[in-house]
Amino acid sequence: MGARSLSLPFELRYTQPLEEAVEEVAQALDGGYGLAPRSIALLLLQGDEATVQRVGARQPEVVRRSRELAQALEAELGQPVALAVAAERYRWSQRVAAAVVQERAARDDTLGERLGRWAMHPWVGLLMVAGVLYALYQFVGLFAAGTVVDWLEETLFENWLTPRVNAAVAELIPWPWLQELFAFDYGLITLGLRYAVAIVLPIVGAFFLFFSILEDSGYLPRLALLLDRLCKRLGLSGRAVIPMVLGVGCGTMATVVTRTLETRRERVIATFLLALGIPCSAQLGVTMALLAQLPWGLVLWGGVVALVFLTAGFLAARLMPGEPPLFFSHIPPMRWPRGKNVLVKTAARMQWYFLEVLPIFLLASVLIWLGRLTGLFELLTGALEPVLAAMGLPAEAAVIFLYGFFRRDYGAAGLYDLADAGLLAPAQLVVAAVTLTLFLPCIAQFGVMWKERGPRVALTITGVVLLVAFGTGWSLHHAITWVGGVF
Amino acid sequence: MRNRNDSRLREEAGRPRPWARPRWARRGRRAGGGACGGTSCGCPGAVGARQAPAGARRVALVGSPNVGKSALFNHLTGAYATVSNYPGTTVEVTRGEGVVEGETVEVIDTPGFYSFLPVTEEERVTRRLLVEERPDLILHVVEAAALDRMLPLTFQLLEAGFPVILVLNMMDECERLGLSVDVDALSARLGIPVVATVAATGQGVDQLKQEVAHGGRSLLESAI
Amino acid sequence: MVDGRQKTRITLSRLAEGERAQVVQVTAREGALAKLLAMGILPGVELSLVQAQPLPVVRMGSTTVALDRELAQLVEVAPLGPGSRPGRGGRRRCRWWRRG
Repeated sequence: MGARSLSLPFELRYTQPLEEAVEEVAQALDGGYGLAPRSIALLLLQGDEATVQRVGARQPEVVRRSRELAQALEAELGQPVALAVAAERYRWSQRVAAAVVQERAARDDTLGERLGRWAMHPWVGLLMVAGVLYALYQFVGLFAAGTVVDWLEETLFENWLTPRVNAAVAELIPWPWLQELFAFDYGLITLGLRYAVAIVLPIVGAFFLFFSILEDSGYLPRLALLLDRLCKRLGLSGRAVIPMVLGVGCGTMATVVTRTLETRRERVIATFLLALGIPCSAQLGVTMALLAQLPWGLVLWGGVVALVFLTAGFLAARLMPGEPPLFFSHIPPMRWPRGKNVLVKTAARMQWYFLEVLPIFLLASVLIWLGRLTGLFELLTGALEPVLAAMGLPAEAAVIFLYGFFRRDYGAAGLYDLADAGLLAPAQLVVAAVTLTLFLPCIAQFGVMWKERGPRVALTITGVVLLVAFGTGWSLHHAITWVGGVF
Repeated sequence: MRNRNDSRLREEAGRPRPWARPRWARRGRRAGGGACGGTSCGCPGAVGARQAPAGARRVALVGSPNVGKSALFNHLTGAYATVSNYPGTTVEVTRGEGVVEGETVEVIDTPGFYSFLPVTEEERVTRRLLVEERPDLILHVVEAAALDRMLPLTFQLLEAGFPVILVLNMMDECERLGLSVDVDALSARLGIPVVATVAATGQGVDQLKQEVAHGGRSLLESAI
Repeated sequence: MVDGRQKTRITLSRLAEGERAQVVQVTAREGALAKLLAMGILPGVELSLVQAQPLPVVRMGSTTVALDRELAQLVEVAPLGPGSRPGRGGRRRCRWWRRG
């Protein structure tokens, strides 16, 4: 069998008039396009955008001719060339398959098939979504963000590494202003590295692992199809569910993944919603802890953030020009994920994450250092104070908002300290938590927004997010004051 | 989004392989972004990927998602595999090294691909990869039970001038569904080698390796 | 299996759950057409509707695809009557291969 020749005996000839057109265009092509001329000719006749551009750059006359031919073909065949070509190939395929495939016996259902159907069921599917979210919360929210992060932060950094680094830096570097670049509250090692290793590594790692398992099991397309109609109201398609779910892990990664969305409109809306209303796991964890003693506050926080998220999406869908997206997806059978594949994928994502995002965290540490050194931060916090006062928040909260941008969870953690110190009334706490959740994403996400969507979109989104965040905080403050005595 | 850990750049230098990358393939790459269509990918000049020793043949696993490409990849390659984003995209491409009858080949596991008229970013990446890297041999992996839906891609790969081995995977599933496929008849009809495998268990992998060892190499130029 | 009882054409979005049909025409153009082709929905293909809510899910041979109603409206099909609905008591004669 091995010695069989690989020449091309199978005749891939189309019926007339298609074949004639393919031949003509293929003859006119001078090669150099990476695929055989017949292949390129077919792509041109089907109007493939990328091929038209590539060939057009060198042989514009061929593109013109193929466009004429395609128009003539379409008129003659009464259907688009792409459809005619696909139909013809499918006919060949059926002919071949009919000759070699035999149906012997009937099929039976496997557990995977049944599970796969339940996962798409209008309401059983939604129950399964709830189950998956609960598992995600248990694994990422409680186990990774709780147990593992606590151990790493306290045991590894606070009790062991940080004091040693602080001591060593204090000894080696005589100037306090330079000491702070590396150590103490906002240093490269004590903040930047600690953040990356103790907080981001376990949370993001656990999330990526969970996500890879979901991906390999074939569940994600089912999730997308279940939520497609909701997404459509927000100007997105079911496909956007994937970056949105990822955003709960890390908004920065999710913003990169919005690339897989089809239209620019969808990408911009998804980027905007990620920046506004999807709290990342680091932030979510601290907010939960913060409001744990305040059940009504937690409910109010969740309700307001969800409301703002949905309203913003709804308005974005109305206001953004462009076609609404179309959704389609192959639904693979549900399968048990394979350990090795899942691990390889998770490791690759972690690697990407560290190479792309760690430098930004380190940069953020340098920026905080510079900002404090030059007094720029004091200026900015001073400017923020009146805005916060309008929301009924104390001046001390300004620092939190500013630092929150550089380290999203730091803002929430700072709130925690303020509340601990008795500086925030419950109502203020809720207002601050809501505003901070809606407030700008972290600097890493901002950087990725800039890189992926361009400065104009990034800055516009930033402006809108700031306005919505403070506007919501202000309204919420006044609403709570107005309801008054209830609390 | 360059992948800074990409081993490709290091190994790109000084490896003349004229037979594997004809003049037109090189030109196509430089012409900017290859077959990348969407505005979504930044398309920095793509780099040819190299892992296996210089001159090793490149064998690409191509096919729709969920047909068992990754499992086959694991059978064909050893322990070492690198997963990296294709340049300018978030789409992951896995590469590894395999040995077939004493010959070392580079094995590439490509993202899900339905047709040469790409709709998704994954498809765009695979098409770019096929155009830019011009693999020496394509293993078109199909789900045996869905043969008639997957053969159109086999036709397109042949049309594009690639040496193709058709891999009928998941033959166990096919039997479970009560279907049987006459492998020799299929091979005779298509004029290309056809191998039946069960990637989950490794059944048929040895025969696939034999085919890989014998297939592809010398016919690249003549096929175009 | 084609009983030819009705030659009526309806859009895929109106096919009943569990019903089989043959694709007669695809009226989509450009992007929508490319999507339908990528899914393998083209004239001549036989399919059955697995479920209609929340989105139409279609089965062709061993392939399953989901598409939104907007796309489903661009596919004209000729119903072929109810098919064996997967999982709801299809033929279950031969089970021997599961023991292996």
